[in-house]
Amino acid sequence: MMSKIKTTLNMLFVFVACVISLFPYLIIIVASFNNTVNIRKGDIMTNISFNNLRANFLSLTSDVQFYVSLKNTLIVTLFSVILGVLLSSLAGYAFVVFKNKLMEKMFKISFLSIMIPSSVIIIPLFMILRSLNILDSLFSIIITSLSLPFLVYLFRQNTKLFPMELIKAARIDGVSEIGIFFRVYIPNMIPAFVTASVILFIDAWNGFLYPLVIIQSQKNMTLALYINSIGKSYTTDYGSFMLTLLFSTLPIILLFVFAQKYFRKGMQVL
Amino acid sequence: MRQTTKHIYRYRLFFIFGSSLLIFLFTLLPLAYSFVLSLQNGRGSHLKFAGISNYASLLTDTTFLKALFNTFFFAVITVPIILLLSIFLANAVNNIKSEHIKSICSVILFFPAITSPVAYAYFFRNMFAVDGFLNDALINLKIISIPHNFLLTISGSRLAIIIVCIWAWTGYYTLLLISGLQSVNPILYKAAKIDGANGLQILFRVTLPSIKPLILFSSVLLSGGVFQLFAEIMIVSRGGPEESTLTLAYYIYRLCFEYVPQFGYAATIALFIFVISALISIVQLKIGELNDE
Repeated sequence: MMSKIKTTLNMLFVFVACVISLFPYLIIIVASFNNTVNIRKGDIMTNISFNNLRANFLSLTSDVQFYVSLKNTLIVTLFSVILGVLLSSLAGYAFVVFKNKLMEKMFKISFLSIMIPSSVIIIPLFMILRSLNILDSLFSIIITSLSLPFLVYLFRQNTKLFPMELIKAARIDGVSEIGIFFRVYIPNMIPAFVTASVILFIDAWNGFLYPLVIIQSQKNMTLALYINSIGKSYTTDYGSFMLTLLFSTLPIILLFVFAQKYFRKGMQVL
Repeated sequence: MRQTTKHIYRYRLFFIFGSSLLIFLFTLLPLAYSFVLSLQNGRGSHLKFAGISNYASLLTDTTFLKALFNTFFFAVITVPIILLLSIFLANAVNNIKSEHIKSICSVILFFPAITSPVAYAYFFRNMFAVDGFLNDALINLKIISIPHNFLLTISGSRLAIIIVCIWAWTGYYTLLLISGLQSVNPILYKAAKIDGANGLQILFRVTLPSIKPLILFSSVLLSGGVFQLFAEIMIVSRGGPEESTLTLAYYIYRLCFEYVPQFGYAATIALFIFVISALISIVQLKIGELNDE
């Protein structure tokens, strides 16, 4: 009896926490089915209709700036994932496979860089980019926000579990070092690669501080900056704003739900 | 054999070149440069050497002292609350028998951690606004009769920021601790049960001591997070009212991008954040080591 009550209370606690986690999503979804007047009145439960949703969708998709920022976010995300995964996996692999004293030192420097917070380096970074004349470009967002120190560490930890015999066997078969990396290592390390891609995807898609400082013109805006620019204005169309919030968060949620099994495997070794 | 080793070593540079170059250019170089900047003074692009005058200004700048106080205030309130909540929540999720429900719950609890800060910050700003739905709900429930402008009172806006932080961060640490709990040796639990320990005793005597390193690591990460608190502040409360929610990270941004930029002085504050958060990490880790002895 006692234990049954305990199990129920335990489950209830977790359930309430889950509802709180989902709470903003629930409100945003319901609010997307309302018009601005009702949202401002706080009366979102009694006026749910597909007509409102359609109107909000039309209003959102009629804004050219929405497409521009969506396109920019996709570009930044795609190239961040490709470049970040490639560079960090190469380094993480090398720090284990080609290990010696110098490599250990290089790894230590790379590892300690995890401790350097982005708000600490944002000003000098801004000035360096300005003097290189590459401010206000998607390229600058991509190369500055790859979280390489953390990902190199992630790949190094995962590589430690990689069977060295496979590499030795491939060398005897005459496969080049680069060939071993691409044809032996990558196919056997899918969880680590999925994990790193998910992390880079989320960081690039949600990134705010770096784009805010780096981007100055409308044509280079990312989704986060677009949301910020609508949210700041006093004449916000709340119906379509809620839909924008939904559009900007849902891809990440879906990606994570599909990739979470690999994700946990990849993070386990940390 | 020797030749093959030599041949292998030639690849080293190729493998680590890209990541090392980017880490050097966009992480290490900026850190070094912020030290140089902190010794310079002036507005806009006219910077000139000023010795330690920026460091001296820190002591007399009331806005800086306010931001410092606020940052510590948020850390002292949110870090323990989030840690306790995530410990209890991780324990509760771990107690669920069905593996399937367990994994669904952990995925849902992780949602806030992967939600765009800009998106949730605007959500919470609308929630706490004077015409937002929190006021509507409170009026409908007859708890208050006229709308309360949370974000225009000091306690209200601080409370709003604290709630946002708890919502945004608890799930992440819960998942971190769940993964720790799953590595605790199940024999320990069996032994405790045979000895007749109840749920709370097991939690405090068996579970917590076994995941202590992870709890310590979480507290280091969390306090680091508070020192980074930026988007939430900028969007939800804009640092107000009367700078009561201004944090160090947002103050740096303000100094550089909202008024005539004072890059030198802002870099000094940034370095200060770096030193303080490094010190906090060291102290927390040392306390952990002392407890072990």
